[in-house]
Amino acid sequence: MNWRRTGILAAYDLRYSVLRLKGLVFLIPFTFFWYWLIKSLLDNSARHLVSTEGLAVTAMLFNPEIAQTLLILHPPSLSVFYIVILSTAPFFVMLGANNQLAGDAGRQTFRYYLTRCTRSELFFGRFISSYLLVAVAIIIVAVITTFISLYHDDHGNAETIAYAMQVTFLTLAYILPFIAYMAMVSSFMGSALSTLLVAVALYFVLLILTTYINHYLPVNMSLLPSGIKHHLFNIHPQDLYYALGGSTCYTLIYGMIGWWLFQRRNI
Amino acid sequence: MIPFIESNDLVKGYGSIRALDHLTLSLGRGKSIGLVGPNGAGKTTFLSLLCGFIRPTSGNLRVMGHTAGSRALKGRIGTLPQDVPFMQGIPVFAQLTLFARLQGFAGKDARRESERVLQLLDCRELGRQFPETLSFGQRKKVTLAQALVGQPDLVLLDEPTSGLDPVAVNGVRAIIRKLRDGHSFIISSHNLEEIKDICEEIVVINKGKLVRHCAIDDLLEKNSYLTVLLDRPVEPSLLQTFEQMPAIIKVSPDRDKTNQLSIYFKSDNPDELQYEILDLLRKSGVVVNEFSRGTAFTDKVVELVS
Repeated sequence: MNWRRTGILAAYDLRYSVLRLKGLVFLIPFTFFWYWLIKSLLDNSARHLVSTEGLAVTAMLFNPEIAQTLLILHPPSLSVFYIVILSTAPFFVMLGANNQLAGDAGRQTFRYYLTRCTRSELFFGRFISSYLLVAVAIIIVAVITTFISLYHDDHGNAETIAYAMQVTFLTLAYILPFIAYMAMVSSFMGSALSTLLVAVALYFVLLILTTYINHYLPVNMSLLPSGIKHHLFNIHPQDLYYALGGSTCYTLIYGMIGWWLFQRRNI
Repeated sequence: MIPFIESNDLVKGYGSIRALDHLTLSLGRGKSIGLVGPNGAGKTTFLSLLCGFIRPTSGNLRVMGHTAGSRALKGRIGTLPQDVPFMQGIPVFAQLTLFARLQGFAGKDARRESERVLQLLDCRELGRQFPETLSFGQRKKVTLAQALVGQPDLVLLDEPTSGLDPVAVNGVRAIIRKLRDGHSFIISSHNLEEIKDICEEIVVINKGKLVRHCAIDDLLEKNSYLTVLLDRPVEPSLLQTFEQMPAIIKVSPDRDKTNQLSIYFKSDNPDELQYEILDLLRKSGVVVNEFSRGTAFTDKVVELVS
């Protein structure tokens, strides 16, 4: 694989995604959603979660220990960002990464590319560009939230910045398998819309299968990367390693399936 | 010597349909080759296999000594696919520059190369436009321009002039004629006059099988056939006069055009015989509207695929 060509493809796709439907379909809802949430964080709404009632609600969602870790031991504004971004990541990634390959393969536009670069370069170029599009948007929100946290939360600056870096890194690791999942679906579909619909349908099928398997087998098994989410909320190192390992495995599995399918499809 | 393009027992199937059926073919370098055959003959499939857009079901296909679609061929083949749009919302020039960069040109050189190919097709002003705003003919021009980016060794053109106005058709043919010295061309077209005009060799395929591969002059049998179009239907007495000439083997009027005559001859000096025939026609008081060496190309190809 030629990394120079892969880089050119990724940079070109990223540059033009921002101004085209491909990127706007993700950027517009993402911006509106986070504008609303950041506005609320600016009003210091995170402090309500540090109250007894807030902690009780968060403990119901996770467990008391995680609620205490996220909201008391760490800056709550950043923890709110972390909880919300991890919970909404599958949805936003599906919007932002649905048109990696399907549209151009379906319209046969890739015929202009395939005499100049390999399918692997196209696959990874599009994968990288989709990842960067979502990642840059997340980093921008993380930076804004960090400033809000530095202003509102009663934690030291160094501690806040270190925590911000940690949650951003973990979020960026968490979205990686979802990008790979979309690359997999996109590799055999013929349009962006059909990719989105099939990805959503397949997501729910896998979710139901996971629930079914877990009901009959006494093991913690998941077919979707969202299965590692609760490990990411546990800020304990052991859980984090488990989550990062899981994220890598999901990315490799989905990515390899997608790559294999794209190598074999007629364009 | 390694053939420029070589296919052995090449099969491409789509479910139960065989688009290519054990096609074995060898093509030389530096030639302009016309690929002809009826609809569904497998022409576009063959071009797609050459570019690596699709994979063969069985058999093998090698281009410039490498398996079709392999890494070593990237940037060495230019293609004009049939009816494939450029990416919407991105100016033509930016797309051409990307293609040049993928072929190894650095920043400024890539822009220069894009300008060169647009200039070559006399459509520099189209570079600033978005593909969706171009007319059909303009789109054809810019896609032809992209096929020439980086001066590839092999250029594959699928119906290069279909849908173009006569002026544009002449322009495109002139460009191909100008470029064919430095490149190998394979042109798939239903326009047989175009193939006859531009190409040196012809490959006729039908139902995925090779029917004929030869030089166009050989197909036309230029040194053994004359086609004459007269101003009136051919009279039997004229036929008898021709048959008495020792070099003429057979004279037959066309089935559909009664004023057209095919003359099959065997002579060491066909040029001299040509003058003798014209002289004879003049003495018979018949006006010659058209006189050409070789059989009617279209009739020959139709005969081959029938």
